[in-house]
Amino acid sequence: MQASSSNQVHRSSHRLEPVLSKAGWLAFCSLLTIACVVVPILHAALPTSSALQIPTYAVTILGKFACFAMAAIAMDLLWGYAGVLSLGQGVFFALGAYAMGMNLMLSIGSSGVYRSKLPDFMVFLDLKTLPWFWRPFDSFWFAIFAALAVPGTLAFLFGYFSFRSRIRGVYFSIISQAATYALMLLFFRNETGLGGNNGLTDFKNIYGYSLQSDATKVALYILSAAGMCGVYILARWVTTSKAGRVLRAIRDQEARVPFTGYNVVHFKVFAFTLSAMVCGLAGALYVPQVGIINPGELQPANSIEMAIWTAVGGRGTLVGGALGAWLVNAAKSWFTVVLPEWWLYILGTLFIAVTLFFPRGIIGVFARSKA
Amino acid sequence: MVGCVFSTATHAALADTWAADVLALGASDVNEQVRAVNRIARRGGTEAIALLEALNDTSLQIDSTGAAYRKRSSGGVVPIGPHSPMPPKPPIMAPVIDNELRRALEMTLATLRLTSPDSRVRRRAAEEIARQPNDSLAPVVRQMLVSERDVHVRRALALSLAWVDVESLDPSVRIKALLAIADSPGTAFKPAVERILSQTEHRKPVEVDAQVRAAASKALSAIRWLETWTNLLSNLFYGLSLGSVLLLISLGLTITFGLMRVINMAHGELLMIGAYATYVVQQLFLKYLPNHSDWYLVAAVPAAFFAAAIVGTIVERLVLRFLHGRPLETLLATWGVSLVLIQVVRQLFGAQNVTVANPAWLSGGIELFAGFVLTFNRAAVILFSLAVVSFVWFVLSRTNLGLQVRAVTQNRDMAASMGIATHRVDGWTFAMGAGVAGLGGVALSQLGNVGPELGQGYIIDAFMVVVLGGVGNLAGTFAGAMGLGIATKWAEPVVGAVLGKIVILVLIILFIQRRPQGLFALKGRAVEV
Amino acid sequence: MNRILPQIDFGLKHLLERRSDAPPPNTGSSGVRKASWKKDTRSRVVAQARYDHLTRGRRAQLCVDDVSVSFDGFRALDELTLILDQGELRCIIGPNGAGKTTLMDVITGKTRPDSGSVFLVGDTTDLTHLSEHEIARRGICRKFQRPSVFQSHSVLENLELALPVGRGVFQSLFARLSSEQRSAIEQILEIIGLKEEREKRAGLLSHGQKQWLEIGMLLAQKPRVLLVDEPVAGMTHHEAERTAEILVGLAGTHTVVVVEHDMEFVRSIAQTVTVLHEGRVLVEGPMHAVQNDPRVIEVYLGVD
Repeated sequence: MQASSSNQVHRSSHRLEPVLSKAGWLAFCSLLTIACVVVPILHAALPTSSALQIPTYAVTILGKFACFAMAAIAMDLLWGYAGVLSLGQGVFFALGAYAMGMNLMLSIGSSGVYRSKLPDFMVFLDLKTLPWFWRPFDSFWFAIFAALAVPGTLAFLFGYFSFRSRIRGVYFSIISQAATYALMLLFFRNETGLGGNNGLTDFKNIYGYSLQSDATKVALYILSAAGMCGVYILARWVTTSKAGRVLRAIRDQEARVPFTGYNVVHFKVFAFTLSAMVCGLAGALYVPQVGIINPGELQPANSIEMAIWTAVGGRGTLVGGALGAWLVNAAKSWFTVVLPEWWLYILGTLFIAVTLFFPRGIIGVFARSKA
Repeated sequence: MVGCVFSTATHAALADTWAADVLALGASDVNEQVRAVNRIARRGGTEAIALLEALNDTSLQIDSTGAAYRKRSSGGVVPIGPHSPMPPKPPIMAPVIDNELRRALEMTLATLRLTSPDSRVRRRAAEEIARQPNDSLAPVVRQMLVSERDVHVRRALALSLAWVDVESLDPSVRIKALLAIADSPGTAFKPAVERILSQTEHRKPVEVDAQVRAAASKALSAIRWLETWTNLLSNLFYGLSLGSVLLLISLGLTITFGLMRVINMAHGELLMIGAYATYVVQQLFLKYLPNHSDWYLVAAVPAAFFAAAIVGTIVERLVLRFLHGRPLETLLATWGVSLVLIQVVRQLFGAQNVTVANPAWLSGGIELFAGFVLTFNRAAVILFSLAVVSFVWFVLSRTNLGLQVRAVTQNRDMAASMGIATHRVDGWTFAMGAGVAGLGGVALSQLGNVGPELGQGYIIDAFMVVVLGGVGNLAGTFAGAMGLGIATKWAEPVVGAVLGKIVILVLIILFIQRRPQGLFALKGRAVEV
Repeated sequence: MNRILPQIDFGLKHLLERRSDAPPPNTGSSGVRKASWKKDTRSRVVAQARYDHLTRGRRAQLCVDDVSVSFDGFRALDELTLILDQGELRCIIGPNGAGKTTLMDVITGKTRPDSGSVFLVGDTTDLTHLSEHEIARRGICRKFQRPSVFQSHSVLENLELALPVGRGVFQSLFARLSSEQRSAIEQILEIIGLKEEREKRAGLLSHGQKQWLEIGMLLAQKPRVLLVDEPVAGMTHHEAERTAEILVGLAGTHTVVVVEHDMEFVRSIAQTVTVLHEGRVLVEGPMHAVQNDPRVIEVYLGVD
């Protein structure tokens, strides 16, 4: 035995699985370059008459899709790797969006409709002073912090108490859906102080830059695309680490895992919290690009749609999550313009078809045909 | 008839002043009008009542000589009283009524009715006055009280006097008034009684006489007792009503989720299909059997059951059968089914709500006592839900199919090895669950709006009831639904509807975390999916 | 209306109860701790006097003290007391429903007993208050009836997961495989004979190979006590012999408890045999004594 181990040359210690293979890093870096360098160049450097020029609105759409992809990667991490189907990830996305939205609202300052320091909807509701929890959102960085901390804390608490009670599988999904619904109702109330059913909108600036300018929009796009890539690497790092293998073990044979010495609750809470924080960040990047956040974003249907992005692309592959998000949202954008009554049929059939015929998603189809 | 008999001699003389009064009714000055009304009222008699009633419902027409007529809805006029010759002499005018006149008129009419020979009319009038305080009527009421023999009318009259007497300078009168209130309490008296028991800002009692205060406390406790009971019964009734709705929508889910372990996200849409089936049956009845249109509900029950059962069976055969043992995939697939179903209904029936009317025998209600109305449609839903539960229990525990269903759900392999066709049993079970959901839709159609998204609003509640009650458990579902209904109705007046719903949801989530197996756990079974 | 599902009574009651007695871990059963709804008022620590009494005069390793477990009226374990000595190889046998798997469940923390305690020598903590992973970290490791390796992980990854390092969330995120750990894994691969299959997905192994992999995982955990539930079920004669070799080799440095039905296998490895019946210890002793005991013959039809 000694002989065989000395034959193998090892550094003193290294990861069992690298974050990405050499080919993987190559592909990743190319994608990153295309997304963050080539696209902006195609937007800015070419004249608008050129066929290859990417118009500003398209850049914003790409940015929004990148945010969705971020959330989908987080969802895949939670569902595809840890086996937890949460039907409330949309809540975390929306919370992040609200956090950033609050900062954007406050940075409108006195240039709103009512020419008051208070946001328009507060003036409309006859509020005299800013509610206490709004005040810190004056700072952009606090908003970013809140976009991560608020979903993270909520997920931590909810996940801890649920997983500790051994609530899992479909029960957890149903309960997460009910909690989502309750939160949505809460946000619809005017008394909650977040704009009621109109939400927060009419943003003017972000971090001092005007939201109407092309440069800001492109910058937001680059941030979103870079964020998506960064989140991908982070997720790869987690899933290729020992923790990732433990998560997969929990997904496949949860009952056996504690006997191998791992505290399942801790791992699940970790995955849930991380996923929530990433969704929050995605929401924070999303809201300045879409210009509005309202409680409709919290509806259970949105969260369930996130699940189908992951399922379409391919669960448990991370890339599949991003791919699915892009494809489904692109299809949605196209259909809702061209054949609106058909979109719900397509979406519904997609749910059915993917679960029945393509449980491993598009990536699964290619993997099978390769093998 | 307690009225005045006019001798022919005074006829003409009275007629003059009568005509003058009638003409005064058409005056432009409201005060003159009110005075005229009072004069006419003092005369009394059926003619006066008829005249004032006509004035009240704006059908009064006055001709130039001061004769009164009533305009008929079918055209033309009829004379009021013997003093009005036909045809009326033009110019004919209709008096203008403003709110002040209307108020005086209504009071006056009430008083006049108090002198009616019909005791029911008198009683209604007295109760009307008792509800709305009017100091100026007090003398009339006192007078009536003296000569009134009917006990109900007396009580109502005493009550209406209580309004005034409570403020009387004589303490014994005040006491009598308060005792009258204690006898037949009403929430309207509460502020007056509370004021008597209150204290000034120097913490001195407003009411000096201790005996009066004692009588007032009696009155207040009587009022509170009434309020408590009214609230209790009201909450109970509305809670049971909501609970029965929750029961109906969750019963189907207990069967499919509890017995088959199938998460059916399209369950709400099965409810919706049942509601729309009811609508279709109503339309068919209106078109082909208009004379019996109220009985559409009877035909709708089986129609909704079968419509939902058929849709459920299609879903089960085409989708669920292949996802056996994969609950998360079932969840997502059935969500897709629900999207498709909603869109189909939207395209067939439009995105707007459709109206399903309560048949006449279900409309309205009875007022058991002040403030609490037992509506028939809700009572019917409660009874209906009990009937459906009994039906399901019967099928499951007494029929062959039920036995097979229970066998398959307890131990599928064992049941298969005993020769039970498990696939067929699955189909029947799901169809039954879907059918029961359809029945739930019938009930929903009677209580609220019917639109393509009807089911979406109930699916979460349904799941909560099932999970709360303990999955796969009829008793648990029953307890969960009723408990949830009553709890929600109790929370609503305290925190409002939306916040109440949020609080209830949060409480359920916390409860489930504490006790995942629900209220009535199946013994010996782990909570697993 | 309390029970919508009454008992199916076709004389197969005990079969059904065995099912609920030992839910297989692969099916994702939640393993709800029995009677966890009631507040646990028992002491978390074993009384010193009792500890001394049980461990006196022997080199004990694990004590099961007066444990009782009831499922819905059925008494699975009935004031069972069992003491395992250091380094011994104990076989536990008994007819169906005797409580063998429940005993393992109690020791590993899957089921909480109604009364009684379990403790490791050297520590008075009552293990029945701990969760499964805490017990596993204390060196009590279990191999399940049906091989429950992690199917979508490779053989190597399975063994890496079993290593007793980097078990916390943050530790496992940053965990790296040191060369000592690598060589430990290689050693185990050698022992269980899966060196060539190290990159193969565990789900693709044969039944016997899966059993060995699971034993390998047990070894990787560096346990003090190994609980092995029916290790040779479904194995060929040859594989069973190999398994016997492995287990006998482990005894001495580890305490090994084997639950088995296969009498030939038991005979080939047993030092001391404990016979359980209806939740109690019926007979305990060397194999030949147990085999010829009339009580055992009476309850355990099928002993050849």
